[in-house]
Order: sequence, then C-alpha cells, then structure tokens
Amino acid sequence: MCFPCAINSMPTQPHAWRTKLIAGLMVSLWLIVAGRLVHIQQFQNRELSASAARQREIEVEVPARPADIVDRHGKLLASTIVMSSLFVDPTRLDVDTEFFIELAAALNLDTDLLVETIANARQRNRRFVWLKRRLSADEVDAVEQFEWPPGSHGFRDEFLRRYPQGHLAAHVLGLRDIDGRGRGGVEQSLDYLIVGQPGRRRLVRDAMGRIVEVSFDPESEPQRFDEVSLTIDLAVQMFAEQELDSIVEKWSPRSASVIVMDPRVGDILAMASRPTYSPDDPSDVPADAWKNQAISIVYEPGSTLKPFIVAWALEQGVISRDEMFHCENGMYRMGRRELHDHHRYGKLSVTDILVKSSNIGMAKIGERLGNAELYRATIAFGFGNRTGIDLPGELPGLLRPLDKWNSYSTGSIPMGQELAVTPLQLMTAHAALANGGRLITPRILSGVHGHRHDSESAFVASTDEPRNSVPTTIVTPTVQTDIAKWIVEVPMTEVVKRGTGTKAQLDSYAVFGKTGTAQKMDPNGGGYSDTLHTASFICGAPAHDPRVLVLVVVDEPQSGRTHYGGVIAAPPARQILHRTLLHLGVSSDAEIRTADKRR
Amino acid sequence: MFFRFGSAVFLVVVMSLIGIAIEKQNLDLRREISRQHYRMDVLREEHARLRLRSQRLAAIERLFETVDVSGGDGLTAPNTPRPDRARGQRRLPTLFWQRPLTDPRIENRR
Repeated sequence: MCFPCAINSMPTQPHAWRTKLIAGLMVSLWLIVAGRLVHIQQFQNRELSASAARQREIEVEVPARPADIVDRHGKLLASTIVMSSLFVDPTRLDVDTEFFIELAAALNLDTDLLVETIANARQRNRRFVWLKRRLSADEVDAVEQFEWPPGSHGFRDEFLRRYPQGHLAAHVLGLRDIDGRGRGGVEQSLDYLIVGQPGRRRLVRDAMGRIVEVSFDPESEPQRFDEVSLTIDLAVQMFAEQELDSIVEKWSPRSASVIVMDPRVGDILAMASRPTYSPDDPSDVPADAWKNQAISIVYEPGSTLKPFIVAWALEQGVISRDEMFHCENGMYRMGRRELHDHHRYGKLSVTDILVKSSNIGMAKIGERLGNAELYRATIAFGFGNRTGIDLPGELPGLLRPLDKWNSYSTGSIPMGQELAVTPLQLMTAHAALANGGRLITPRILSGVHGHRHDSESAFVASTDEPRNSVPTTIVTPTVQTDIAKWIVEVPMTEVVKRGTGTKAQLDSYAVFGKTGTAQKMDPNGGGYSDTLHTASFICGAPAHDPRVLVLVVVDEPQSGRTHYGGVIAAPPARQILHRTLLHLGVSSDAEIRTADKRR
Repeated sequence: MFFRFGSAVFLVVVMSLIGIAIEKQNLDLRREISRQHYRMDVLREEHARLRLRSQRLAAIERLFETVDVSGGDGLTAPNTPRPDRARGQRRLPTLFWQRPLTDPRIENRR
C-alpha cells in the first residue's frame, strides 16, 4: 500500500484536516525531491558529470622516451634516463640569504646569480623558474634536506640523453640539447624516428588533491620506437678513431676525417672526424669540433679523382686499356699553361698513368674527352650533388656549370682541380667503382625496432621484423661493370703494389687504392699555396670482391716534412683496412686460393 | 505490513552493502592496475639505467684497453663500478605525481 493510500484509509477524526495537510506537505516535499532528482539525472546529467570529472580528474601529457640508438650489432650508442629538475615559485620562496648560499653550494651554482634570478622572477611576478635542470641523485638528496617554505619548490622529471661509448661516433650521433631537441648527427636528421609522439594519462584525485588512480588507455600511451639502428660498426668506428688520434699526434693537422664503407650496399661502417668532442659533456667544445668533417668540408680531390676520368674515357671509347700516352718528359704545354709531373715520364700506359699519378697523362686523356664529357663524368659519379645520406649539414661540393669551364679546365679537372668534393662524395664515387659501376646512396640508418603508430603522420612500423624500415637506396649506373672492375683490379691495385700507395700494402689481401695530394688555395690570395695541402688516401680490399673501403683525409698536415697522401694518409688507412677486414672475417687471398684448389 | 516494510528496507540495505563492496573491490582493482603501471614505469627506467650502465662498462674502448693492458687475455675486470645511488630511490619515473605547484605551462627557463 502506498503512503497516500494509507493516509486516505485512516478513520476520519476531528483534526483530520491537519493530518491531511501534513500528509499533503510531505507528499509535496517528496515530489519536489523526486522531481529535482529526475531533473539532475535526466537534464543536468552531462553538465554535472563533466563538472565533477573536472574536479576529480586531470589529464597530463606523458612524454615519449626517445628511442635508443644502437650500432649494426645492437651495441648501445645513445640511451635516455629520467632525471629530476628543480623548479621554484619565487613568490612563495620567502627565505633568508643564508638559505640561498647553502642552496647554491648544494647545487653547485653561483650564489649571486641564483639570488639575482629569483629577484628578477619576483619582480616580474613569475610563478615558475627552473633552478637547475637534471640534478644528480646527490643533488636531489641535498635539496630535499632543505626546509622549503610550503609550495615553494618541486621536481619535474625530464629525459637526459647519455652516450655510453664516450666520444666514439660523436659526429654521427650529434646530441640532444637541454630541451631534448636533436642537434647535429642522426639525433637531428632522424629526430622524427627517435622522438616519438607524447601520450596522455588521466589522473583521479581525492578531496585532498592526492592522486588515487591513474587511468591507462593503450590508445593514448606515448608512441615511440625502442631502437634506431645505424649501419655503424662500433669496432670499426674505434679503429678509425684510434688512427685519427695517431694522425693528430703525428701530423698536427688542422682537421682530419675517416670514412669506412661497405661498397656493396653503401653502408657506412665508420665515420669520424678530428677535432671532436664528447656528447656527454658538450661544454667547452671548440667551434671547429662540432663540424662533421666527412660531410661538411670541401677540398680539391687531386689525384683521387683520376680513376673516374680514366673509367669514363674507357666507357666513352676515347681510350683503350692497352694504349700508351707520351708524357712529354715531365713538361707539357696546354695553350698558355704549362703542366708538370713530379718525375720525367716518357711513354706510359693507361695503368701507369694512374700508378705514377701523371698529371700530363691525365691531361691528355682530358683532351680526348673534352670539357663536355669531363663534366658528364663528374656528374655521373655524383660530384656537385649531395649524396643524400641521413645526416644534417652535408655540403654538395663545388662543381662549376659547364659554361664556366675553359681550356684550363680540360687539364685541371682530370687531375682533380677546379672542383671541390666532400670526403663522403669521394667515398661514394669510389664505392661505385668498387661495386661494379653502381653509384649507391650511402646509408647510415639501418632500421628501426619497435612499434609506433602516429595518427598524425600515419607512420606505422611493426616489431615483427626487427631492423625494418630500411630506407630506400637509390642506385645509378655509371660505367660498365667490366670497366669498373678493371680499374679496381689493375691500375688501382698496381698503385698499391708499385705506385704511390705502397705503404698500404697488406700481406694477406690484395689492396687497391689511390693517393691524393691537393694543394690548397693560398688564403692571402695568389693561387695555390706551396705549404698548405690536403693529403688523402682511399683504399679497399679484397680487390677481386671489395668488402671494405677506407678513406683518410688529412687537412693541412703541419708537423713533418712531407705532405703526400701516400705518406701521411696511407699508413693509417692500411691499419684501419686491415683491422676491419679481420674484424669482419673476410677471407684472405691465400684462404680463397686454398679453398679454390680444394674444389 | 511492518514485516513487508522491514523486508524491503533490509533488501535495500543488503543491496547497497553489496554495491558498496563491489565498488570497493572495483576501486581496489583499479588502484592495483595503477600500481602495476607505475611499477612498469619504474622497471622501464631501471632497465634503461642498467642497460646504460652495462653498456658503459662494456664500452668497446674499455674492452680493447683491457685486452691491450692485460696482454691479450682480456679477462681482467675494468675499474670497479660505482654504486648507482639513483637506484635506491623510489620516485615516480615519468609523471610528477605530487600535487602540481603551478601550471607547468608557465615555464620560465632559467
């Protein structure tokens, strides 16, 4: 029985109207309450729910931990840890000077600067000031010992990039600045793969403002890759860096660089420069040290360019492999210009022109080709254009347009003058000869490991196949395979056997190579300098199936009495080549011969 | 009538208590999930630190240095690693879970 019915069934009494009034009031009251409930639930539901959620819940951004960088064997090159950063609210930091003195001592800061910073922030009524970013554990402990005014300070977690291999591959890696932005190296060029997309998490607070629940939604978690894998081989990188240190110690050059490449696929196994720096401690780094010399200096390649001109002349059919050229006993006049060789050569074969590095012989080949074909040759081997490697700051070199060339160019270009290249361009071009005539884009990125789905860029990669997402490699044919093979196996191998590159000989491998000694322009004007040189040497092995190419470029060697590439750059190149071949387990020529005999 | 009324009240109370118990259990489970995610974050951070430390100790230059110094056997341990003080701390790794002092967007980089 309902309540009003119960009232109605009561016997009629003298003051029944009072009872009815009370009952009516109560019913009305209940009806009002019920109506209000219906109103709240039915009509104000969304608004009030949202209002309650706003009071209880906050949403915070969860930054994506930057992906680790590893070498081709999975050795860690760069990783990220979380550190605490200290901030203060200057308006609430009502403390005496003694506090600041002790705090500055604990944080290893300058007291005056600290006081000034806080005073300035107070003046501008700022409520948030970083005191120190990325504190060490000791500093955090020390800060927590202080008696801070309530609500005057706090910690925020921030990522700190660390480089466990020290200065190894510093120029390839680059670094991340205090705000986590990639600066230089793959940290900058592959930032889109390394950084990832931040996620969001919903936190539920109680009445006291304490976090009581964290809601996790897989859809809104940070999107990131676990690892970005490079083609660098850390052991080869170390060989290169050690030899660079020896070069610096012995020749005190202005700068030096080494590139090691697998010419079959264009993988960069090592890339190092001097001067260098440690990415973990980027303070007090000389300005020159930031520059990756392998991609951001240009120099005249000198004799290291000669094999390309010979290969192109053979390709065009203007010379033959067994042809002899008269080298005019060391002096040859081209129009108004006199060309000289280091020695007085008479008749030289095409092979010997490269072995002896005869400028006159090359000039005569240049005359056969003419400027237009010389220009095509340089373009075909990639000079004047960036190689397209995934590294920032790569220069395109210097190749003047054909209409700016003159009769001097016919003699200068074949001997590696009048154009400037980066070490990487030269390496890429030589790789084209070593791999049978295919100009390949050099690769530094091997792949990524992990899973990420960016809704914005619709970029998807899966974990199913580690080291996936290998970037596209562009392959351009240059010269016929047999010509490229002949250049490598005959003239360039003879250069090391009996020419200018004998210091690069190895007992167990047939090495091919080419020296380069280029005069630099005199900074005071007046043409080429007699004292400033760029010594370089490029070599590879085994000659029958090149697996490794090494380029050493030494800019302005200062100590010592020589400036020749065969003396300065060849010995370290040999060392790097030998150690790399052993490290990669490349069979020696004797082992291959034995295996062939067994078959 | 009173029996019926009492039964109804009893039923309502029992249902409320069951509801409260279920709600509490639900809350406990959600807290446990939060804790598990927090532990996951802590473990991820630990993993990153330990991996970094191990790779630093096994840095290729150190290993080759050891091989060179020890005459080729390469078995001599490098310097004793320093204990990582940060490991002892139980702090939340990715979130600032304490009450926010101020709007983090109001940043003024020092």
